[in-house]
Amino acid sequence: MQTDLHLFAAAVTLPLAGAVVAGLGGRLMGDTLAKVVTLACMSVAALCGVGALYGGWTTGFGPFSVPLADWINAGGFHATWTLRFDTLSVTMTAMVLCVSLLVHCYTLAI
Amino acid sequence: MPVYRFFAYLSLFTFAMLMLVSSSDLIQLFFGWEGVGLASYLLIGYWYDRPSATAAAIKAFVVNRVADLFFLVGIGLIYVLFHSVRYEEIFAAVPQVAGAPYTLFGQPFRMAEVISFLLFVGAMGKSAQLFLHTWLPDAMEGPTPVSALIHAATMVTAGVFLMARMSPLLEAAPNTRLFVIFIGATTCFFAATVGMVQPDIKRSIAYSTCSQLGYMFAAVGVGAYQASVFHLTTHAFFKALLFLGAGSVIHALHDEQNMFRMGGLWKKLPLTYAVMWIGSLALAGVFPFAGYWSKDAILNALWAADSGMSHYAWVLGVITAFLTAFYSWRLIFLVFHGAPADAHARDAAHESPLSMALPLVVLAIGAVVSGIALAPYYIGAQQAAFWQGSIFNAPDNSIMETFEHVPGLIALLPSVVGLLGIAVAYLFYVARPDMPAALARSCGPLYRFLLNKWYFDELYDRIFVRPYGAIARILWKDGEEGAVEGLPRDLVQAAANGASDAVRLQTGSIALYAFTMLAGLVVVLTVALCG
Repeated sequence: MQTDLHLFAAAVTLPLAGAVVAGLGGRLMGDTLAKVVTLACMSVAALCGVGALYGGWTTGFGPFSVPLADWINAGGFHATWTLRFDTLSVTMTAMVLCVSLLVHCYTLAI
Repeated sequence: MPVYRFFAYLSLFTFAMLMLVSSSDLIQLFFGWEGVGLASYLLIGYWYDRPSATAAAIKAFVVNRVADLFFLVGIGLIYVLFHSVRYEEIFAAVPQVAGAPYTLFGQPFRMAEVISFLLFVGAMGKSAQLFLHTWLPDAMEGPTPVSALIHAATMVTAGVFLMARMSPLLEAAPNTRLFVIFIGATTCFFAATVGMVQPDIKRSIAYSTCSQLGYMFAAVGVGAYQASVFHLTTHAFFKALLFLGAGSVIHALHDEQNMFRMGGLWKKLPLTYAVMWIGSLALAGVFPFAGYWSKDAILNALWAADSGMSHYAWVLGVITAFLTAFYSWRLIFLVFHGAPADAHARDAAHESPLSMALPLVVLAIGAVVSGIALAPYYIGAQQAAFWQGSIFNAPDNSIMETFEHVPGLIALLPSVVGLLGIAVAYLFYVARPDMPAALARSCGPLYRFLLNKWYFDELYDRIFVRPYGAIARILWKDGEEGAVEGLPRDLVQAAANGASDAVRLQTGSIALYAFTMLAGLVVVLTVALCG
């Protein structure tokens, strides 16, 4: 179960890593390397997303929560970065990542 | 133009969407919601040297902000009522506090209804439902992969996702759900009628997206959240396929988007032709393609819900099934069949490279099998075990059981009208190609009404955009340039004029000074002695 949660967290955060590296470093590394980085991040993320879906499907979807970090702590209002692992979020994550990966791949030629 | 930015934006967009779907509280969801809005702005306006693209990007951003204001107020009310924004705490407390009254304009409303309504207006903006849909067709100004990503799997599905996620709250708000059915069904019909006459290949598919989202909201309205998420998933595959296929056609014809300037392409683009057929069969809901399972489930649920509003939605939904098949095959026949409008362009067309063909093939497989493979889990016998409570149906909401028991003829009707739509499209664009033009001439006002998208853009231009522009101009010319800039400038001018006048008093002539002193002395003495 713990593996699925880690896969899920990786699936959600890897596209951000790709966006930050390609967006901020694109001028230095050039277009080709930026394409490779984002595509690699998306591929791994999609694999993780599908893996998390498979894991959830076989062992049960919870719901579980995956805490990432603290966010807002102001007076009585408290909010954290917490991912929710349940059927709805995991199926949506896998679907979004698959389509997004294919769109990234399609864009390579343009 | 550097391409690295485009890839960075695509990944950022995906991340924002994932943040939205994987959130565990409404604030995090709102972060993803706004992140999607920002990334869509960047992507639609990617060709920033085109005025139409920047205008479309701003339009998408502003229309979404209008809806987001309602959404934000909804989140605020949730915090006021539940003292938390975490899903678990909200859902656990719904039965206790949902009936709390909320007075608005002197009228008492149930709090659950008010909150659900506000959240739904937020969802309407993101999912381009009627009245807040105007940004979606214009967003086609962006590159085609953007259209595929925004209008198939992400962004527009966020609204439907929000409704499914907040299902425990919506189950406590039956009146709002009636409104959801109404907006969903009306959008479904409206967008299909407009999509039927558009000459632009991407806009035609964009209106189709709008229409399919209407189906999903109608399903939410009757409480069949599972069916709407199912349609969302199958739709993501076949609509991404259609957009990318359209992109392949546009690529082959060097950025030609007008369908009436295409034609006869099927021998030149066999793969694109095949996948467009698969995507259209799935969209039209032909057995056994993906759309058949999800769209039939929604229409059956609308019939089984058995209320006035749901019957209204069912009738419009069936009419839309006909229109959907019609405009899908209109696209296929105009683009791939018939005489080419430009024979040179047709002969120069060539199939796309492998990196573009591969996604098309994968999505085509998804468009064929996702319906039949997922139906048992998403909506079938195992749905309760599959969803494991992440979508909530109230104990008195038995729609997920009853929708399978509608009369056979009713269940068959969407497929029949779909095939009828294909036949009519064949008649209009292959057998008798002169008929559409004759029909457009004989029904001129209706044709122009549809071609101009029910005049929504013109209406909004008159009601909102122009008055806003006029007010902005008054504030700019009179308010800023007149008052804020003008007042200090006038003060400076007055001081300078006063100083230059005062300078004239000093002439430097001793005689004049002596005379002035004498005159002053005379006046003082006169006052002192005679006063």
